[in-house]
Amino acid sequence: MKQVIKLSVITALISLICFSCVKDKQPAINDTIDYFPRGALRNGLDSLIDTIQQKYGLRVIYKFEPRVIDPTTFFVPAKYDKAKPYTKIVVEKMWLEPISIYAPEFSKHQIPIEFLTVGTGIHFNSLNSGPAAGAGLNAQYYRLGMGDVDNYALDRGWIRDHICTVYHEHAHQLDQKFGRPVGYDQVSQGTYYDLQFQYKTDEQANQDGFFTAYGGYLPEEDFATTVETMIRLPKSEVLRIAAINPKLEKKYKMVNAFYLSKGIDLHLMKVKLDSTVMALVP
Amino acid sequence: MKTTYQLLIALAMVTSMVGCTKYEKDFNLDELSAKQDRLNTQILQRLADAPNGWVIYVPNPDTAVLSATPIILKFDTASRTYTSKSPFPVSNATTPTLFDVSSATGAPLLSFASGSVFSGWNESGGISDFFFKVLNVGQDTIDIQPYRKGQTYQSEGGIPMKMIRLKAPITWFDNPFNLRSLLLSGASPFQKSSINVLQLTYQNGSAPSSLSMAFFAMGPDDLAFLNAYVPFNRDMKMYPAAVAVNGDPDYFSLYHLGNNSFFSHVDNGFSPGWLFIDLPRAIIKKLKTDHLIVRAVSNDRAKVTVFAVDKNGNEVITGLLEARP
Repeated sequence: MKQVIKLSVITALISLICFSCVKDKQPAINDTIDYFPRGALRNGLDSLIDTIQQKYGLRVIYKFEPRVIDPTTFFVPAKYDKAKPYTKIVVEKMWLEPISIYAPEFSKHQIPIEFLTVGTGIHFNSLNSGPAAGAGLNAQYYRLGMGDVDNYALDRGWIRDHICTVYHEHAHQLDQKFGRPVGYDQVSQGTYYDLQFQYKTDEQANQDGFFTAYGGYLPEEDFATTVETMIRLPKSEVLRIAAINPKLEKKYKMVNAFYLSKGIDLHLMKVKLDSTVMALVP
Repeated sequence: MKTTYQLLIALAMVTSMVGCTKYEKDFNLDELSAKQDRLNTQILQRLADAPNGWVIYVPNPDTAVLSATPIILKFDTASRTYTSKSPFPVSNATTPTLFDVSSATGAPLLSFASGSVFSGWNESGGISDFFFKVLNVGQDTIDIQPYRKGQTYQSEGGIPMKMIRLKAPITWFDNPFNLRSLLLSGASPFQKSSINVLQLTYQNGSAPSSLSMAFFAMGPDDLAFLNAYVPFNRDMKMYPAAVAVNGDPDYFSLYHLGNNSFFSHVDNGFSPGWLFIDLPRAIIKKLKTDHLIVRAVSNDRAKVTVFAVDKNGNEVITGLLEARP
């Protein structure tokens, strides 16, 4: 009897050891759970977006879902029939392609990986609609977002003006990424208008050391509007305005050097954008 | 023998410990993924299986408002596009409107993914999101809930609503009326009359309401501003007009005209408050609805019969707008 008990105990222990050694099946971790539908149908814009992503490493997002916009943002997607030509003409032909040709280093290292096409204004609360862009959205490394896409028109003036805003918003991104040039904020320290910029003219702003009244709002916008001005105006005109105030000239040189160090000549891009838009909209 | 008992006790202890370490995994990611796929497929099949389409009656957040705004949808699941009919002219836009059914946090997500009547109305403040959690799928109804409440710092989840499978077509928006001409042109009885009276009756037994209304066309500068900046006009394509109520021509409200509907719309984002907020809100409170759908216009163009439905599609408000000599 004693032997039977011992045998039973030993058997049970062996079984237990064997059982304990059975590993749980490892949960299958995969990347298939996502907000975006798998195997979703593809349209012409999807194909264009794929092509652009393969070529430039930037993905245009025109469908908004929770993964794209967080609960505290209140901007809406562009209409499909606007997002498609906008992606082709503005994003690819006016922005990515010229940069890749005339500033390849900049194209390689400084282009974000996502671009949101926002239908109307960009606003960050449920009440107020912002202007075409939105520095808050663009103060992040990886994503640029542009509003006003529902107003896209194959119009030379609209496209040329809008690309200035694209450069302005992208300047905010580079500002976040690298910081403004050392000493930049000190040049006009104490003279920024804050919200009083609304009551200033651009001419007054030039006298005070800013390219535009909005640039006098605060250093972030000072930096971005300088970039925007360099893309908008001929070099001679930029230099003329910069010469109005030594502070403005100093900041202009800082911004120009900043961009040259990243591999892009904004004055050259201005010329190339003029010719590009003429070719796109004869 | 003593050793045997000790071993037995040890065995019992080990067994109990091993028993406590085991658990039933409550999910398997592979199964979860397959389940989500099944759910999404079911939803798509149900959306497609509706020859007459679906209708959503979007309730107003103000519970004193009896009416809900109908949006009729027809889904083409092959191309992931849909068409809509609604009181809003933007529904007539020819642009393809896209939708997606995808997996989200805890529920399938029905997204009206590109610019459309939903995104425009969301930006106008009329609906709290343009993507919706799918809460339940029945034979003839799909329960959905806006993902967000629509305001900063508020928690997730707007007002739940139903998509109802239509057994017969809804034709309310099939034959547009030229309401601009009807109410605003110089030859209109509503411009020549001494008084225009809107009288409404309510199916819930509330006392009938009556409002005298004088309609005014907006000037070109005002029209340009409203159409450029105010989402209800810019995105929903509602035509802005002004209305003076109860004989006070100095105190007028914006009043918006669609193809088949009139709207009072509160827009908190603009000033002056009396124009964009206070008087529209007062009109809504008085009428117990923010909109009226036009059923018919009399041959002499002096009488307009109107109605509104509730969140279940029941006609809860009926009325007559009459130009009186």
